Amino acid sequence: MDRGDVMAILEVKNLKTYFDINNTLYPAVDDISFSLEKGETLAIIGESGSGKSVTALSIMGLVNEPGKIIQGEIIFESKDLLQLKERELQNIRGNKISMIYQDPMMTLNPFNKVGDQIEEALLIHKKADKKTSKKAAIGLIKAVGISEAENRYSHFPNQFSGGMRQRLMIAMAIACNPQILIADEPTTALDVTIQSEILELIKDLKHKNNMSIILNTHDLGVVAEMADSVIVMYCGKIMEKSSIKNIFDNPLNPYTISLMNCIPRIDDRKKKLKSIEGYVPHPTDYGIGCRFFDRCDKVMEICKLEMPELIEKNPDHFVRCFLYT
Amino acid sequence: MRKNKEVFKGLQRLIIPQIVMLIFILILVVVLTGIPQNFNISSYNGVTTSNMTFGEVKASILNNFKILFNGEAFSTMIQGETAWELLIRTSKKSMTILLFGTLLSLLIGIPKGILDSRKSNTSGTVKLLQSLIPLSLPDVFTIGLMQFLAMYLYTNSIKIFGIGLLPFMGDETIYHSIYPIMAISILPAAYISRITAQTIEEGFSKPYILAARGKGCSRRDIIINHLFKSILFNILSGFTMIIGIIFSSLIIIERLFSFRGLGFYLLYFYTTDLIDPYEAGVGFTLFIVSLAIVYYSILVIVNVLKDTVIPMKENG
Repeated sequence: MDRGDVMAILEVKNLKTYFDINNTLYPAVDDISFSLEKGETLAIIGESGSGKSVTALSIMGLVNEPGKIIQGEIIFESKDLLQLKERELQNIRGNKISMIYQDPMMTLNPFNKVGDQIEEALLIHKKADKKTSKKAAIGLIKAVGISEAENRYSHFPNQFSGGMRQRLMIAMAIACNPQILIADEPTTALDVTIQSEILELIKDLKHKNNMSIILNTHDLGVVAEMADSVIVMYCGKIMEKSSIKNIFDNPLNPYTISLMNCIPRIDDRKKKLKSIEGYVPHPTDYGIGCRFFDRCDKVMEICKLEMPELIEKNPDHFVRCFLYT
Repeated sequence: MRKNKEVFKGLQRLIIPQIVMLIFILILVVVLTGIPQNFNISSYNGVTTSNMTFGEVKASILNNFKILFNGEAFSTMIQGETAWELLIRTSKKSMTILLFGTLLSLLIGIPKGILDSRKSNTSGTVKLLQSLIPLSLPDVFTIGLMQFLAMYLYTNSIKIFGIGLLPFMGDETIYHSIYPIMAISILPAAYISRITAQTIEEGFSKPYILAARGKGCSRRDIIINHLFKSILFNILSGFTMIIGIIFSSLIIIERLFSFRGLGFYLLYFYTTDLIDPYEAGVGFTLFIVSLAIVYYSILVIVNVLKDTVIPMKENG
């Protein structure tokens, strides 16, 4: 996708989401900016704790205490979502921006029929009557590939497998034909055999409904298959962002390179899979320097003392590393 | 057909233990109330003696069983009416208080719990105290305070609810039951409010509530569509405690407000000299057995409702 041709449907500017623990603020998302174009699939990748989910929840306005957004703008339809009242945000959630969550086993209400849960968004946003919304819900169940939809409408979540529940979550998310779908690790909790089915389903629906997608994942295979552009996050900071081609063909940040090296290759006969040494630091342990320095194989003295800026190294290819300043 | 059989089996599993327990308790009650009221054991210089022989006590207990089973207890005359007539008359009064008191406690407790769960952390202590103070005070004190308020309003001719002066004692008219109903609902309402608030607070941390918020549900939508079943389930689960509170309060309330229901007569039979001890004993046995049956019936209904009507099988 040529990013110059289309207008951004969503713009995130200098977003800071911090966690307030005992009156001390710890950054979960630290001054990130990006934009999402219409019809684009933007993948946000990074290890657990990199801030992907908090970014998604910040866009949805669903950050729970002790988390709070302390700075930034999230522009959607010329409005800053962070300035909207809760009531106005409710009109956008599930209607214009929807979200698919990580764990389908936990995100469907076990006490309500799945049909009721799918049609809920229609009843709220489209003011549909019960009969129309039921018909639409059955249509959605069919659309996500679940057979005997009329019968399944009245079933409870415990009567479905994990993959089917994720399909139902997708049905819930697309009920109002949203402009943006945020998929927060939609395949992480699923069996490998189900993962590709779910990704195919999301892809199909994206094309049918002309949606934009923000896809959070730590699976680079998923990124390669789905994304148009990529943001690499680490400890709440954007380390690199560019098109899918640039990221895979010419990764610049040592963290991105390390992630790429972790992908198992069919032609690589080494017995041991590669991994990045060390652990993602806890937000309470972030220092003043680059947050990746203690795991980086190209670390320099300056990395421990200062946080590098995110610079545009090549056209539409941004990187945060002292190697390029 | 098979499903019906399973439901029936499930109900049997729920009800039969309760019935066995009820029978055991009833036997215990009849044995205890069968012991003559003037039975006494004394100890002097290390020697323990009783004023009745074991045979006499045993005969009295067996007689208690006999009069209950052959129906003689029901036709025993107590102050000009049969024990059965007295039981029916007083039961109606007590049931009015129990039923409306429970309804009022639900009507107050659930909205109060919903409001409590809204408060921020800074007022959390106040919120907790509002429920914990009534629960930690002795019930006789809370009910006494209610009666003082009733007396104050009456003696100062302060009219409430737009229905004029409300009597603070007695049971002649429907208005006499208003204060007892209010008094009996205080503790259960505090308990229900606590359960409701806790369920909502816990509920809002559940991933499916986050997903519901993501669909655009308002707080009201979430409470009604996603949490109400959990609230009802938890209230029903706590009903064993609530029924206990209500029944123990009933005796105190009827005594303090001179409201002549089952609870009033239970104490009356035990303490009065105006009724023949045999008649008082029969009345006491009959009334306490009736209360036990009512108590257990409510408990069984609540448990059946909890486990069958509200589907709460999580991910099973």
